[in-house]
Amino acid sequence: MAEEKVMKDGALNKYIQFFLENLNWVLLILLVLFGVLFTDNFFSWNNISNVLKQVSINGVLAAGFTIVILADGFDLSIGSIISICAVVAVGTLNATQNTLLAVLVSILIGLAFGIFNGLLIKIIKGNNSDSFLTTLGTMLVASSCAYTYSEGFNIYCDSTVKAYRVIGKGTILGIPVLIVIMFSVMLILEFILQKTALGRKIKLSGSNRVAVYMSGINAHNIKIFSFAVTGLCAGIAAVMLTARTGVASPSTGYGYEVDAATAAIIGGNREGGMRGSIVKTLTGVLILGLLTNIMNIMNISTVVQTIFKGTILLLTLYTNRLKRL
Amino acid sequence: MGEFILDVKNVSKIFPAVKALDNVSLRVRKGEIHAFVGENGAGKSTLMKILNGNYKKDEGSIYFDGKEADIKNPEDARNLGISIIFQELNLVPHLSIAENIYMGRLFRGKFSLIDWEKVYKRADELMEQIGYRMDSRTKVESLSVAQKQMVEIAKALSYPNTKLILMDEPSATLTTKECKKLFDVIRSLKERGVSVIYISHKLEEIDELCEWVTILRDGKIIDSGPISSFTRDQMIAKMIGREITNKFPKRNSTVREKEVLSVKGLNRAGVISDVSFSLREGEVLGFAGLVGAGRTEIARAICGVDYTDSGEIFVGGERVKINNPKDALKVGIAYLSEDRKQEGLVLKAPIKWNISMANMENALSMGMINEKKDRQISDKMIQAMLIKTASMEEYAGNLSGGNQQKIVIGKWLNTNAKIFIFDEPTRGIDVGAKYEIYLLINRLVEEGRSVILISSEMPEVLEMSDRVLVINKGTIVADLSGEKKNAQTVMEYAI
Repeated sequence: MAEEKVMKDGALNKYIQFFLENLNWVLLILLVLFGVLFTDNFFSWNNISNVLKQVSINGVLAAGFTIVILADGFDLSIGSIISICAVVAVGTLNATQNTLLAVLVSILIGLAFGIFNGLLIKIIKGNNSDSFLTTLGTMLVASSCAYTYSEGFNIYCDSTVKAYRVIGKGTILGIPVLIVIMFSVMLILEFILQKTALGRKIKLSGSNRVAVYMSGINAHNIKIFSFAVTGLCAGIAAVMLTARTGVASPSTGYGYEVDAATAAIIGGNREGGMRGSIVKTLTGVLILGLLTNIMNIMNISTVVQTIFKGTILLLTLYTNRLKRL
Repeated sequence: MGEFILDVKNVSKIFPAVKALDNVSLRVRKGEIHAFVGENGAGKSTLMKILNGNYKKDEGSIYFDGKEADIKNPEDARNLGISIIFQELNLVPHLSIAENIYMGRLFRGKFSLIDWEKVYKRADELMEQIGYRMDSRTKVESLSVAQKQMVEIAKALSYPNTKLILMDEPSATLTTKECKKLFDVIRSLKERGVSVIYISHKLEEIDELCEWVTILRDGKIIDSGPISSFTRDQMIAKMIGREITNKFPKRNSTVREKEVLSVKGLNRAGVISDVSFSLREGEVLGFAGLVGAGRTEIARAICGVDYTDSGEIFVGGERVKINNPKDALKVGIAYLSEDRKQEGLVLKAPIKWNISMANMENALSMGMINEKKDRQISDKMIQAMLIKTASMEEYAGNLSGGNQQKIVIGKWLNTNAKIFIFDEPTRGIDVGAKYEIYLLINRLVEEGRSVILISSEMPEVLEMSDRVLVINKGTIVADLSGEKKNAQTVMEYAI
């Protein structure tokens, strides 16, 4: 089947393919134009940094998610992992008054859950659809861990520890820390994806696990790596979230996996797709962010907003399939 | 118009980089068994796919049974009476024979509920008509490849108006006995007035079965006429455009003393039993036997793809433990699977990536991929193996079977593998590319590497190997060399 799809081509199709490949850019440009026309000061530093701050958390998550999608997997548990990381991080912060420790704990727990996901998949030798179910299980495990740890209550950051809140509200050289974190994560992941052997192995194993295995590459370890990355990103996101809001609860991360997946897909990434990249994810993140931004300004109700987002997600899921790669 | 079922006039098909069909015209009579021959990339499959509605022609017209036909999709083809049986069979394994035959068209009875009795009865009748009596309730997954093919034929016949059946390399995976059965069935189709277009690389078969042959090359029709009017050599010459006097390149014996691989007592319950053999440096060791005899299973067991119950493997005299292909590669064993598309290549990736896949370390510098090194390696391989492609960025899935196989070979050449296990390396590949692959195998052993050649093509395994092991029901029954290495002896042991 794959061969048929790769070979089906003609002169006209070339232009359609080009359009589909760059659909994310088209959407992004349209939204930017829309924003420029209908809002004042769209390109002001104030507005830009606002938008970027809004999307920063989703940006980190979507970047990690991209790696999993390209490796032909799916991670439903990101939201719950954020929750458990969040409560433990803030709990640690309050107990030790040590910002660095809290951050480290969050990242490590996220990593641990990620590796757990990867190992589960390896044990059942699963593929894309299997990861849906296994991460569903992890989602419940992580969620109950979060509830148990916090006993159902909100945990508020100790207000005397200023350093922690700086992560969420401060700036470095005039740029909000949140934005710096997002771009750093994206940069590192994009580098791995495009410039290293590991990145290439991820793309190859996502497309044809068996061939990669037969060629002497450990496809399972690659899967584990990709889930570990999402876990790590969840841990980072948990820190970003709690630092910004000042509070952690067992439902802190609820629903974040949806936006992360949506952003990655709208950006044009596809399960097992050879042309996936974090740049594409970034466009997806921005598209989602601008869409929300604009719809908020236009006073569109959240229900309609969700319908809009859902429609675009379905559309891009379909157009992604039409692409040759 | 009454004589011809199919009349193709000046059909062309253009893909981005290549004109796959160039002004092709041909005619097929009613009730005729018509062969299509030509190298891979000659256009046979493309033409079939246009007739079946998978592709749309860019120029020309097609007349079916006297009327002009516009075949936009497989459904149109079906409605006209054209059925196709692909090389990769299109059956659903866990459904029964009857369900596969009548998929989507199950008979309805009372209250629009499925009338299963009628479904099974009709399916049984169809199978019997073909001469292959089988309980149509049997699940397809439990059938052999040959039997599955019969189901496909029954499926084609289940459409009452079937007038033309297209078959793409139907005998590639069949034993001689199963082939004969297939031919009988095809002849009975002819009796009923159904025409068959038969694509195959096996010229002996075409001689035996077909009445008319159309030869394609580079997208053009070179010649078309009764089989009897061509000699074998003439046909090959027209297919390739040049004369080939030797089908197999000559090679001096390059077998050396040193034993590079030794297998002792390999066992896997129900599949392999007590397999022991040794392989010398510079040797081509052939594995002959019937389809399903267990040759692939032995190879996979050696390379760690399948598990083993017991047995020892020695490479270069040292005992090794191989649990997966990575371990195998570490000790220098490379396995080229018989299913090159699914197991050998990532079709959606460029050639460059496929070639470096088994040994990415070669293309790295400081942990990062060095584009220049990567390109150099690919260049070297493409040149060395005469891979025909516009560029190394071309996607592996776009190349012909022969070139795809060369990429797989190139991939393994890029590693430090010393032992190459080729599993049906020339299956589905045209004569010209086959020869080039034989040259490659020869070169490998001349350079001091060793080859195990698994092949179901008797001439191939006999001519290319220094020594032949015959495998039957999972165990080695003969070790033939010198005078004993001939078709007769092999067949005696294989059956």
